[in-house]
Amino acid sequence: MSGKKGRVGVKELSPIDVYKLLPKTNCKECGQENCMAFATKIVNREVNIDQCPPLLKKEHEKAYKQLKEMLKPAIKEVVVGVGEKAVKLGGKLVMYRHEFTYFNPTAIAIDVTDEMPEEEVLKRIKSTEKFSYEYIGYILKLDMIAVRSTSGDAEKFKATVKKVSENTNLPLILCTLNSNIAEAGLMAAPKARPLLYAANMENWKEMAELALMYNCPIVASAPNDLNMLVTLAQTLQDYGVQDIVLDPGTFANEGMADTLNNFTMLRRAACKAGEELAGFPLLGVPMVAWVGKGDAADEIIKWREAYLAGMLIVRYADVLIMHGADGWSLLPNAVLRQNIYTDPRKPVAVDPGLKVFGTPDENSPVFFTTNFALTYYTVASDLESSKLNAYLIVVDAEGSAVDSGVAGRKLTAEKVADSIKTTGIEGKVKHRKLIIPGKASRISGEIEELSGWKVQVGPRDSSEIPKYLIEKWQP
Amino acid sequence: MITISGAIISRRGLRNAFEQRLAQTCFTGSERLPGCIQRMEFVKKNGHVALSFTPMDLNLARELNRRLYDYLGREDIVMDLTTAALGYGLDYAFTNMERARIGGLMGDAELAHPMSSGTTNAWAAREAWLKMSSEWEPRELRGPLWEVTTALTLLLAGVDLFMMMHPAAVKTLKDVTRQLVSGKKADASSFVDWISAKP
Repeated sequence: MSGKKGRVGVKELSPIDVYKLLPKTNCKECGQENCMAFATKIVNREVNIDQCPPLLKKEHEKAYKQLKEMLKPAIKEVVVGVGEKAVKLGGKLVMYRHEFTYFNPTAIAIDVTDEMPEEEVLKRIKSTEKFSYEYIGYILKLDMIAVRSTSGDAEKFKATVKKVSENTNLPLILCTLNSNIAEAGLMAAPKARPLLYAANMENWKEMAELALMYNCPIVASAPNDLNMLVTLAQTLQDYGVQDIVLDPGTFANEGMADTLNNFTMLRRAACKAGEELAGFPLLGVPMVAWVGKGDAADEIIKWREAYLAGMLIVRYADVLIMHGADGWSLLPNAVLRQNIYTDPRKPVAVDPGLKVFGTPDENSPVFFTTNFALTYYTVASDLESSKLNAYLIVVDAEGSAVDSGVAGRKLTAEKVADSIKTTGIEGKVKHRKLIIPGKASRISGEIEELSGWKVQVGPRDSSEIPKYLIEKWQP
Repeated sequence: MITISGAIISRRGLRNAFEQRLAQTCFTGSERLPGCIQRMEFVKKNGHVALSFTPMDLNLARELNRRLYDYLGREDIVMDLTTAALGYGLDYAFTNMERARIGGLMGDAELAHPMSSGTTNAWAAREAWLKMSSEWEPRELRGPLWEVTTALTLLLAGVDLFMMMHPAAVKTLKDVTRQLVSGKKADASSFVDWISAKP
């Protein structure tokens, strides 16, 4: 692999570099105060250069192109599907999340086949679309449907792709190595821009033709052979295909080390050595766990598939194809993906102060929690989902959770008493009763002394607040 | 691959430490800054290994290790950089450990120690134990998978020693680490079978 160096690293890029190329009109059409403010947001990847209307004019074409090149991510961003549900794969700037932040969380596709009974296909689509979990202010969802040709029959595949695309707007992955079958599938969804799986050393020319004809992205596949994979990407690129996804193969059990190694080496080559041919999104197939399953229980395979998926989310996969569609096996990975893709540049604390839930009145309960983001969002989502009318005082505990805040003296009775005064809660409720987190029971006496409020020790986990209120709350 | 090979190097170091001390070896409790340093005399005298525990802050980890060097050899220290559960701060724990391991491999001697994880903390996540609506059940599988996911994420960051709770989670972690160091190669020709598999 020969690398092309010279692109400025994401951290070395300064707002001045960007500002120099902007039209410098200070017109505010982008919504920012001036061009320098816009440039700063560009460098932090909070806005896109396409949001600067003057830059899109003919006279700035050269600067626009220079900026595009300057801001180009190490991993190309590939769009699959059309419309609102289209997913962006890749677009990564760095290898490690602490170097900047990751973009475009790993897309998860659930499979159907052209030999499944129609009801089952529809059921799997519905459960994929319905998957939804609220987690600290985010809604976790699944992203795509992979249609596999298991029959080897082009007409069957075509009919299934047609049925699937009539029943979902989720982007598709069409899975077959036979270009005739692939074409039949594409004819059933000609404008849907599915991801075509896959071109390999044997079929690449026919598959590349289809990708060009239907304007869809394509997966280059070379199991456990990185040199061949990069050669294949080069070949496809030379043929005119721009949107490529790389599949180095996924191996459960034996070959797990090769799998993690291949993903890591590809991402390393792209981010650290500037190897452009490795700079495409990576596809992982945790569903290989199902191959040759024999008489193993389905739960065992789902478990294996799930942890393989988890490792691939951590190690650079941009899209995953999975068969197990149970909530218990998907939820840990949906949360893991959210964690890995959380912006490490954002503070771990929320603003302290008074938060209002529902429409509380002068008799409504008053709680407090700390300003550690995870703690706050957990409590907030429990109060929201139980549709309670309540006040929540967010105490500045320097971003600590309740238990560690109490232990480390970051959450003190003084701070709680201060917050009662500064939030003005005393003018909003008639009673003087504060429900404190169960894990802060140690400081309950001190809070009573300092604030003059009566303290009620609440549950240790905020999920039990509704039950607690029924049993223990009286204004 | 940096993370895995790094873990192997330091795991060997840890095993040597164990072999030399045999049954005598144990870990002292959490050694927090600034107290408890005097206990190091005891650790040293009895040939124990110390766990240097810091709350997710690499500067503190370096500082505590520096203080421990006055009492203990480098091979007598295992770092615990604090484990947060999947969904409840795992991102901080993961990145902190990944940075520590990369730092250690790149020559930061104060971070070049094996790492330990209190992975049982995974169970602090309510999704690991809470009875939820039927689409997320059974929790008997969801819970241990929560611990496995926490463990494997940190394994990839370089953790060498896991303290865990659920037997199924322990078994999976052992299976995976065994696979990763087995030297067995992928069977490239069988990979495409997934496309037409009929599970």
